[in-house]
Amino acid sequence: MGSKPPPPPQPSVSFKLVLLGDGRVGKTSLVLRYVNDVFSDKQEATVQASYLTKRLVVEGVPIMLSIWDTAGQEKFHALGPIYYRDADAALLVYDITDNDTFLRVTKWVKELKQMANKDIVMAIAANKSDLVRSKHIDTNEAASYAESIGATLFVTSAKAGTGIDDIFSDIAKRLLEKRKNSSDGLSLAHPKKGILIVDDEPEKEPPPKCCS
Amino acid sequence: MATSPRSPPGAPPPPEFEISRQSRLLAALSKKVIDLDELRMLAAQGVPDGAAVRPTVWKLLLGYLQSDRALWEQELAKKRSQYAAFKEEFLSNPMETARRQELEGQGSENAGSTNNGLLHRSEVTQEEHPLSLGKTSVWNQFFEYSEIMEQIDRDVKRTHPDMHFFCGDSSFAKSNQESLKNILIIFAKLNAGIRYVQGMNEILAPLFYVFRNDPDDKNANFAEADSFFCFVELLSGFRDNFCQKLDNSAVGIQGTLSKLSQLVAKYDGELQRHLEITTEEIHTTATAILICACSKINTSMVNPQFYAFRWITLLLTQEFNFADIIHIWDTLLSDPDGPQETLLRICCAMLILVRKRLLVGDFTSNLKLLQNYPPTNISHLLYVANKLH
Repeated sequence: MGSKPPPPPQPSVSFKLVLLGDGRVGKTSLVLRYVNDVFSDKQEATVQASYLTKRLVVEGVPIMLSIWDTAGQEKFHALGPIYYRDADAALLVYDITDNDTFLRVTKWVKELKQMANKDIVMAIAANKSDLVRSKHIDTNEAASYAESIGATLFVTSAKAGTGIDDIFSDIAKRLLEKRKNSSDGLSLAHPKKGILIVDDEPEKEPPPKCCS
Repeated sequence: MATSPRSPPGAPPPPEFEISRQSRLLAALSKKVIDLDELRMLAAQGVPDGAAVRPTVWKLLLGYLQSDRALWEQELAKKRSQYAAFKEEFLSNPMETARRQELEGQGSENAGSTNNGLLHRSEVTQEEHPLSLGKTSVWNQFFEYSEIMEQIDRDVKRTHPDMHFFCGDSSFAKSNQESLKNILIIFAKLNAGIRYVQGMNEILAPLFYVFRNDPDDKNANFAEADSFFCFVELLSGFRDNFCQKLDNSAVGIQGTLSKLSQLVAKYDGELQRHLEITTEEIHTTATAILICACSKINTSMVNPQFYAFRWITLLLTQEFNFADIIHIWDTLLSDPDGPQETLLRICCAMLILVRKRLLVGDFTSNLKLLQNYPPTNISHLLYVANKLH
């Protein structure tokens, strides 16, 4: 079968982003707010990992984010590396009202440094800010930690919908910047990593059956 | 095509067939000694809701009730009191235990010391000290499990959050949550090698729901104890999927996933090859995909982890609505060899039913489709799955 790879209707740069963090810190809620702009108090626990995509335009460049929303529980770690091993970015989430979940973030960072891309872009979301009554949210410790690992820190609330667009756009901007500066340069037609996304509508021809 | 994955739709059973199936089921259940093979055969096609016998049927299928009806009452009483003992042993906290021991001690010693509820310093043994790290220290065990108990608590609170039975502010929902928690904690403590894994709450939920809604009040009141034993029985058939140490072995989740690939390859090679290419796509460039597609494909390479992991570990409980889950479980529990073989056939049928969309889909669209499986005629799904024998 003569199957030329169909040219994508529009050039698209694709990045893989993985969400990591302790259970019930709001990873799924964060992503659902970002991708679908919805929030539910009643979110089932994620088992393994869910896959979502989001298109956005950064500085005139259309970008596709492939997002892996992973399960928080330790048990699923053993299977976890496939989700972050070749990720371009990691969004680490903790619950601002629970310090233990912040410690978990620092553990994740250590693991990423060992196992993931050397130049993985990292951002930290201090989530559930809506639960903090005082106007002044103390994130000094988290902010200086974030700085020390080259990550950015954002205070977010999936419930109120605050900080979410900011954190994802920040990640996307830094990813784009990095791609531009990398030795490959920014090649829209042939992204080095990730996949060519055609469109949401499946219109690709089935693969050739020549091999059987 | 020889294997005919696009079989004609399974015709829904006519009403009179449904009624006759119901009466056959009732007849089978009223025998003095129940013929389990007959029961499995009838239940595999779905237990009619109208008969109100699902709790009994599931208990029989899971071996919790024996086939001889004369033994039921005695056996149930035994199990239920055994469960009460588990609760006593595993759910009371060390503070209460210490108080109780002290009270008992006072009764026998008839000591003159004032009872202010506190232990005297000298009376606290090394093992009973809250900071003791000894293996038999009740406190050490208590703290070791507190993290798991927190995890269980969080997950139980978000089990079927859309159902009033499980969630909400009603005292009924609260007491049901309490029961689910008790069962999972006791299971975790009795099974130190597995303890608690997220998703166990999802497997427990249908059992508890069915037993708690037994029209027989006495049975409904003992739903917690009955669910516990049935949960243990159900998990014993495929607990290896939950065991991290076995993840990469033939019996662990990876082994189960590759069995699914083999099954799909057997019945729909074209679909299998396409899934293999599209699910690997994320790791490869477009050029490599073409090379891969034209070269000889090694079927063992496939990794359905992205979509089938949840299907298998949760026995499909997150893929369909609750009524459909119960229907699927009638069939799953009817498999005399445990749920796994039937489960894999149903997973395979799920892929076959959406094969047209999968064959034209890329990685993104396929994965989204399979992670958000569309509403399906369950009778038809089970019909297709049954054809894969």
